[in-house]
Formats: sequence, C-alpha cells, structure tokens
Amino acid sequence: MKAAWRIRVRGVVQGVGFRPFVFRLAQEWGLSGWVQNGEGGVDIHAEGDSEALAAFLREMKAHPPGASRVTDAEVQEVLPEGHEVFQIRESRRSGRPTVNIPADSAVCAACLEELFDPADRRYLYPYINCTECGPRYTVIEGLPYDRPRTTMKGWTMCPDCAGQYRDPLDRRFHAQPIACPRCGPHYYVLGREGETVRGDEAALREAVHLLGRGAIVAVKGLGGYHLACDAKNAGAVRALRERKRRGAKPFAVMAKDLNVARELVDLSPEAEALLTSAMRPIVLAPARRPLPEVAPDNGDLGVMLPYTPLHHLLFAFGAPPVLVMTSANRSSEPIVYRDEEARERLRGIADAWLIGERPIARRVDDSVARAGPFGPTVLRRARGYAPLPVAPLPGDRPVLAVGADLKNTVTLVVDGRAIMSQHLGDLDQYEAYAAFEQTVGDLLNMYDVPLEETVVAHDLHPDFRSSAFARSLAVRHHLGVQHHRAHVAAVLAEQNALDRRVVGVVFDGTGFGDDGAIWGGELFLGSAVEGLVRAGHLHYAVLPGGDAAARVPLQALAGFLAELPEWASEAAARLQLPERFVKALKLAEKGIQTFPTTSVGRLFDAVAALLGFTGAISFEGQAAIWLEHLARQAPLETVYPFPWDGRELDFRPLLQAVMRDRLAGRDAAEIARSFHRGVAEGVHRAALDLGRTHGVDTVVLSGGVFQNTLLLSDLKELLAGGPMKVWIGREAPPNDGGISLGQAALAVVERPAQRS
Amino acid sequence: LAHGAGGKASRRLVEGLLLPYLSNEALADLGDAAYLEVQGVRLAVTADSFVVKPPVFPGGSIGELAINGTVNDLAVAGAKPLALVATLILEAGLPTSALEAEVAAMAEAARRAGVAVVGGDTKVVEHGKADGFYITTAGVGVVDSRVSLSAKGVRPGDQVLLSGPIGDHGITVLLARGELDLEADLASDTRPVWPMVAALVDAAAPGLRWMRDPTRGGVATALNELAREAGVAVLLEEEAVPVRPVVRGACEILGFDPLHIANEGQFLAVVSPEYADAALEALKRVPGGEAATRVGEIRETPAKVVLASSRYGGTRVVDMLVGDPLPRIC
Ligand SMILES: [Fe+3]
Ligand SMILES: [Mg+2]
Ligand SMILES: [Zn+2]
Ligand SMILES: [Zn+2]
Repeated sequence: MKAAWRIRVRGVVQGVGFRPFVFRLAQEWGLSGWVQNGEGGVDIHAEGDSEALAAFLREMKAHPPGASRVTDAEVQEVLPEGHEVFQIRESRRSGRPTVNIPADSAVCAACLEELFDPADRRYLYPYINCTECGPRYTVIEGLPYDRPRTTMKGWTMCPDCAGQYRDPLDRRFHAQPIACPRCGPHYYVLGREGETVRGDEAALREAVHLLGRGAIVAVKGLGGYHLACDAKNAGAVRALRERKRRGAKPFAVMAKDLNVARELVDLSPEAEALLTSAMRPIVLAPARRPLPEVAPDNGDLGVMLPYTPLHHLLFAFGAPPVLVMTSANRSSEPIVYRDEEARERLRGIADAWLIGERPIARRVDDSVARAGPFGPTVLRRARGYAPLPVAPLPGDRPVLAVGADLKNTVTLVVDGRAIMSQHLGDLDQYEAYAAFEQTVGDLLNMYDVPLEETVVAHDLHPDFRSSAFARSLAVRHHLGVQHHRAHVAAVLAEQNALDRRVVGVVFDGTGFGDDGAIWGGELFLGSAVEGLVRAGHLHYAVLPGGDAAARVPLQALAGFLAELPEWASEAAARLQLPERFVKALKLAEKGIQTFPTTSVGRLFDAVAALLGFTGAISFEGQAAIWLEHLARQAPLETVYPFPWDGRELDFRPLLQAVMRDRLAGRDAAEIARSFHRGVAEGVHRAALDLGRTHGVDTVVLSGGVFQNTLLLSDLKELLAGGPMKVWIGREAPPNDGGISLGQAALAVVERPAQRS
Repeated sequence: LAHGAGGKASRRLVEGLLLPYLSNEALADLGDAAYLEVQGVRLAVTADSFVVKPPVFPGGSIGELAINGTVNDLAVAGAKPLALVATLILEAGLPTSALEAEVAAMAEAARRAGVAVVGGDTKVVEHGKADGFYITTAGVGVVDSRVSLSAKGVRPGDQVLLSGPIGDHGITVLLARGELDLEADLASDTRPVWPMVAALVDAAAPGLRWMRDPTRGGVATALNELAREAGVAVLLEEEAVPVRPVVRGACEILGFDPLHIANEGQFLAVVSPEYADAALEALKRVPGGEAATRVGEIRETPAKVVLASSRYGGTRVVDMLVGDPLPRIC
C-alpha cells in the first residue's frame, strides 16, 4: 500500500553525512520524497510502499552514520505529495541557526581503506576525509557550515573532487573539507635551521626518521600542535620534559593500534569503547608497566589511538609504536595552533616541525576520558566532543555561562540545548583568556544570539577574570552562581533532572562560598529548581598563605593541623618536616594572610604532605594523585574515623589517626589506604543520613576530588548495599570543566526572586 | 570602607566618589601630582597621608616616609621638589620621645632630599583614634622644562625601566610587625628618587614619556594604570624584574605576587626606544641606581592589559591588587 511519512529526526544529525545517508537509504527502498535540515534536526518526507517505509525507518535508526547520534525520530502519517524521485533539499537559513556546530571526528574506516589503497587517488594523502569523518569545529569559521566559511576556502576543488562533492550518492557529497593530493593542502617538514622537506610522503618519512632517532618533533594535528617523541626512549622523554619545563606532570601517549594500547594499560571493555570511539579521547587507564619518564608516581597512563590520517601514516611509515604526544606549548600555556606561533614558541623545544598547510580555525585540545567505577566520564571535554550539546536545558531565553577560572569552559544555552565549549584552560594565562573571549564571541555569533536578551551566569569569586568579563557585558541580567552548587547542577543537567531532589556531595579544591570562606567539602540538599541548600560541610580549617597552601601541600598541612594544636607541635618536632611547615603554622596561628576553608582537596594535600610529599606541586592535583597511587600499593586493613554529626564531617579524628600511625612508623601506603577508605565511609554515612532524614534516594558526587578512582570504587562498594542511587558527571567533567554547564542549568531555572 | 590595600579598590573609591565632585582639568589625569602654571612657571603640587604599622621599621619610619613619599610624587612628575608643609595628627598619650624621634626623622629626610619643611599644623585626637599618629604632607616643585610626561604620549615599542629591586618596603613593614617570626636581612627602600630622576632627565629628556613611583599596589598597579590611561599593553619580562630572594621567599609563603608589593624608593619610567640605553646608563651611574634595569616594553595589543611573560612559564595576565588576594587555585 502506498503511504507517506513525515519523519523528524533529532540528535546529532547535521554536518555528519546524514542527508546523503537518508538519500541512499531511500534509493535502496525505492522511496520518493525529500530530506532537508530543519529545526534542530533533519526533516524527511518519504513516500512509497508502507513496508518499505517501515524498513527504511528501522534501518535509519539501527545503522546511522558513525559520527551521528539519533535521539528521536518522530513519525507522522501524511497525505502523499506525489513525488517522482527522492531529493536532498538545500537547507534554508531562516532566523537563528538551529543546526549544531559539528565536532571533529576521527578518520573513518572507509577513508582509511582508501588511504592505504595504491589504486585510490587519495593514496597516502594525509588530508583524506568524508562526510562521516574529519575536521569540523577546527576548520569552521562561521555558520552555515559551507566550504567558503572554513579554513579550506583557499583551495579550489579539482574536477574530481568537485564531482564527488556534488554527487548525492557519493560519500563525499557536501563534505566541506574535501581535498585530494591534486587540489588540497600538503604537509612539509621544517628543520631548526629552516631546512625544508616537501611532499607529503617525503615529509612524513623524514619525521618518522627523526622520531626513530629520538628527536622531538612538533606535529600539526587537528586542533593544534603536538610535541611527539618515542615514549620508550627515556632520553628523548627526559629531554622533552626538561625543554618544556614540564615538572612531574604526566605525558599522554599515542599507541599505534589497539593491540599496542592493550600492552600499555589494562583496558576494560568500556575503556576500549572510549578509546576506539569517533571522539578518540585520551583514555586514562591503569598502566601495566610503569613508564616512569612518561608518568612519574602515577598508576595511570593516558593513552589515545591515531585519529587523523596523518597519525595513521606516521605509524605505517614506521614511527615508534608508542609516541609521547603532548600538547605543544611552554609549560602551563594553552596548546599552540598557529604555524608562526609554533615555530616561534617551540624554538628550543622541538628539533623539527611537521607542518600541514590547512589552517586551524581555533585551538581544540585532546579530550581526556576514563572508564571509572561509575562508568565512562569525560575529564577534559575538547576535541571530538566540543561544541556538541551536552544536555537539553529548556528555557525561553538564551543563557551564557562563563564557567570558572581554572579548566575553563563556557556554555551557551540556545533553543533548549546546552552547548558546551571545548576546554579553554587557566584564565590566568593570557592565551587562554584570549581563547575564552574568542570562544564566547564565536558561539554567540554562530548561533546568532543577541547579547542584550541573554542571561549571563558567572562564579561568585570576586577575583575571577571570567566573572569580571561577565559583569562587563551589557546583557539582560547577570547571575552569580556559587561554585559548588554549579558542580551539583552540572550533573543534574546532564541527567535531565533539574527538579530531582538529591543529596549533592561536592569535594574539590577551591570555590568561593556564601560566607566568603573557601569552600570545597560541601553537602547540599534540594534540586536545581527549588534551590540547593547547604546541608553540611567539612569542619573548617584554614589556608595559611592562600594559594600558597595549594601550591605547597606542607602549608595546607599546617592549616589543617592548626585545628589540632598538640599534634601540630608533635609533627614539627618528630617528623622533621621542612621549615616551610613551621612558617606556615605560624601564619595559621597568627591568622596572617589566612583564609577559613572546608576544602577536601587541601585535606588530601595535607595527608600527602604528612606521608612524604614535602615539595611544591608542579601541576594541579599532583599531591592527591601521588596519595592515591601510594594507597593503591597497600591492602585495606583499617579504616580511619571520619565522623558525621548531621552537620559536619570532622577531619580531626581522621588526621589524628594518620598522625598517630605515622609517628608509630606504620607503612605510608597502608596509612594512605586507610585514609581513603575513611573518607569514603564518611561520605557514605553523611549521604545516607541526609537521604534518610529528608526522603531523598539519589546522591550526586561532583568536584575534582571525585576524579580519584580509589575513592570512587570504595564508594561504589559502600553504596552497592543501597538504598541510594549515585549520579556522577559523565558528559560534563566532575572538575571545574563542568562548572559552566551547572551555572547554565541554574540560570535556566532561576526564579526572579534569586536575581542579583 | 576597605580601601587600605591600594590598587583596584582605592581606584574605585577615587573614580566613583571623589572625581564626580571635584572634577577639573588638573585632576583628570589622575597622576600622583598635579601641574599648575603660575606666571609662566610650571609647578607640580601633591599631597599624601601616611599611616603605617609599625611606625618604625628597619630602614625607616613614618616620618621619613612622609617626606620621601611626597618628594617622590613630585620627582616622578618631573619636578625638582622645593618645599613641603606637614600636618601631624597625634593620638593623646603618645610618648613625646616617639614624636620627637619622628620629627627628627622628618628633618633628616628633608635635608637629604634637599627640601625645606616650610609650614604645617598639629592636631591631637582622642586616645585610640589614630594608631599613634598620622602624617600628611603636601609639596610643591618646579617642573623641569625639558620634560613632558603623560600616559597619552606612551607608544608601542617604548621601553619600561625600573630603578631597582621591588617589594623591599612592603615586606619589611610586614615582617616588622613581628607576628611572623621570619628572620630576614631586609630594610625598607625608602629614599628620595629625585637624584635618579634628575640624571634620567639630563640623559634622556626628549624620550622620557611617563614615570611613576610604585607605592601601594606595587608595580602591577602602577603599570595597570598606565595601560588603562594610555590604551596600550605593557609586556613585562618576568625574569627581568629584580626581586631579592628574601622578598621572593616571603611572597611565596604568603601567596603574594611581588609585583603587588609596595615600594618607597623605586620608580618606573617609560622611555622611547632610542633613548633607552642612555637612560639606563645614566641611572646606573647614580649611587643607588646600580640595579636599574629594563623590565619590559609597551605593545599595542592587548590594550589596557599588563602581561608578564616568562621564558618557560607562558604569559600571564597581571592584575591590579584587589585587597588581600583570595585563594583561586582549585
Ligand atoms: Fe571546583
Ligand atoms: Mg603617593
Ligand atoms: Zn571518512
Ligand atoms: Zn581534488
């Protein structure tokens, strides 16, 4: 029987080859009609045999293109319009673009096959791509997504490419970055003295040769430059660390293929799924054999697989099977993405540059993810993920949330979607701050959002640059959002449960609290809609020297031990702690440049200091990672007490136990293990108590401390007994990278009475 | 009011509360001293009040500060200090010996700076009202006819010079409060800068664009004010800024940025590139100016921003000081 269906497909279906896919499928099932991009998705009108229609729909949902994601396909039976053929209709832009800016995607299997097929005209061509794969966000200069508004605008398609670009049956129909060796950009190698090797293959072989000899090569990828070297060449890795002034921060590696990755780290099925996804993040997983030069004092290793044709070619030409691939920059700067910048800033670090001619529109770092005890979590949301929507946030006005100052991201809410930017870095750094301003401008422009109608949400911290920027914008109104409430709301947003009442446990380093203190060990009760009330917190300690206590764990220790005066003098006398501890203790006792705090991040630092981490940290979270690594080396034998009295989690008995065992000469790893379990049990006790008292059955865990997988697996064990369900960030990072989403969620449900 | 720390907060007070009432041409510049033209002679006038705890510290005391602070504001306006007047607000019960010591310190500082204290006033307020005593000084100087100083005249490419190591005064006073028990071989840098300014003017007057003594709020605040007024970027080379190890060590423990710490005997100068070498050489020849150095330069962009770049640590944004720095690191 002849029928006609209108199908409205929602999800990630634009800029990912969805229309040609629908076109081919319609051809296959002998249907007529049309497909076009519409409001927030793709609209299809299909006419034909009703069985064919049903099969068409089934097939479309079951096997959509790799980079797409169908969340909903709404079908409406309509009267046939009498079409003869099936057509792809041009999308007309009416008003605000409802199309999502597509994210970059790893090279697909079909392109890879062509890449290594000597008969293919793109044989060994490092810029091969199609509608299902390749660069998107990193080449887009404006919307709608069309070649003249990409960084490929400078290359005119040859007749062969143009033919494919115009052929609806071709995999490269409207593939905006389409190119081939004849008409597209190329790679070349530049040496220190400016000597140049041209020709894609010659350049790549030269880079491979250099890598094999232990050189450090700056490699231009999708969203910026990497610094690459042979991960198994300790001398090369040491040289890279020294030249970059990298401190102890671990390097990520790229493994030739999945088998090589499996030799490096223990991969659960979930971790493998992450590793091989089209997003191709760096996946943190337990190292099978420590690579001390790559990741010192760290049980985990960050591994990724090749994701551009260039990477595949490097390995195919014989590059060492495990490469350190670290963002090219000087320490703590954002990733370098412009060619002149790369040459200038990496002088003295790189021995050679492998440079591709296609410009990068904006810097986008590698994403970082982990298959944690509660499932996969994105820890740094960037390449492959950004700027796709992370959550629906229905509301009647656009919202711009500017995030926090560290690990900054921004979120724009437009037409009911929360669009989250890539990780932008620490806004203290000028380059990161400039990227922040540029990204805000980009998102507002591309989505055509009028600033004067926008609500702008920002952190309450008076000294945050993001907040100062937000306040400088002439907008509908400003909303200050407390840091830790934003951490909870980010999880509620991605669970699409803004009205769900939860117990929110937020453990992190630093956030400005309602009372002007530095919070970081908070328990909330309520929902995003009704508001999150502070229901409990860590017993207050102090931070002597403010940020100095975050840089030097000994100072944090002094601030926490100041609450246990008799133990403080014991520590000073019997543990031979460096002078710094005594000086910081004095600040704490006299209250000079000292701030009240509930930071659990600093509590972990304090314990790390007690157990031997007596230097300064060289990257955020270093002491806590060190402590977790230490704890993993001992079995669980005792649990230190971390009592909850209905209002406070008291760290004093916990710290006393650590001190007592330390002075008694107990093994540091065993102490660290008992401490972790103690913290987990405290959280468990407090969450259960609040849940029971207030009739709430869901606990949200958020904040940077919950990146600790030992703590999480302890909590999973404890909570497995019921009755509480656990929610933790998956799409939005549990660290400050998730703050902008939480701010956006709270701005969407904000009631006028809360306005500042 | 909580504006003691200087920098952003005190600027907000000045711009928000004082300027609307008192606006006039000379004030609009917001320099430390104002220019007045009297019968063909260009004068600089300034006034400053001094509050310091403790009143006596290694290397100086409040009386000395009260003289040097005001003569330095004149000096960085390009004016040779001529004369001062001083007002003392004394707390009832103050030992006369303390008062006498400070008056002697003022006389000695004035002698050293080559100025006369030509008048003044004394008030006594109730016990507990004035932390011992406050001193206000006002001064007048004749502007050297060869110089023309203005933030507006600063151009991209101009060089930023600094007369010596920073932070000595602020950290000395902090340590002198005795609460920290930090032993440090350190003294306040309080001194008149006119001899150095005079040498600079002789050597580089046509290229001299702007000067400032980075007192409260430190180098960071002075340069942020310059960046804002001139609409330029100031790019500092972090490693080029001289900071004594004891000052750096104290800052590290306290979580301070040395660029935010107060100085009482240093000044910043912006000089056009062709005069930069001559200016530096001249400064280094003046006793006390040996450590003078080039610390950065003026750029066109990012406008109104101060950046500090370090060889390996990237380029950071340097803000004005806002009260006590609150922890931000997560
Ligand atoms: Fe946080
Ligand atoms: Mg002054
Ligand atoms: Zn492809
Ligand atoms: Zn071509």
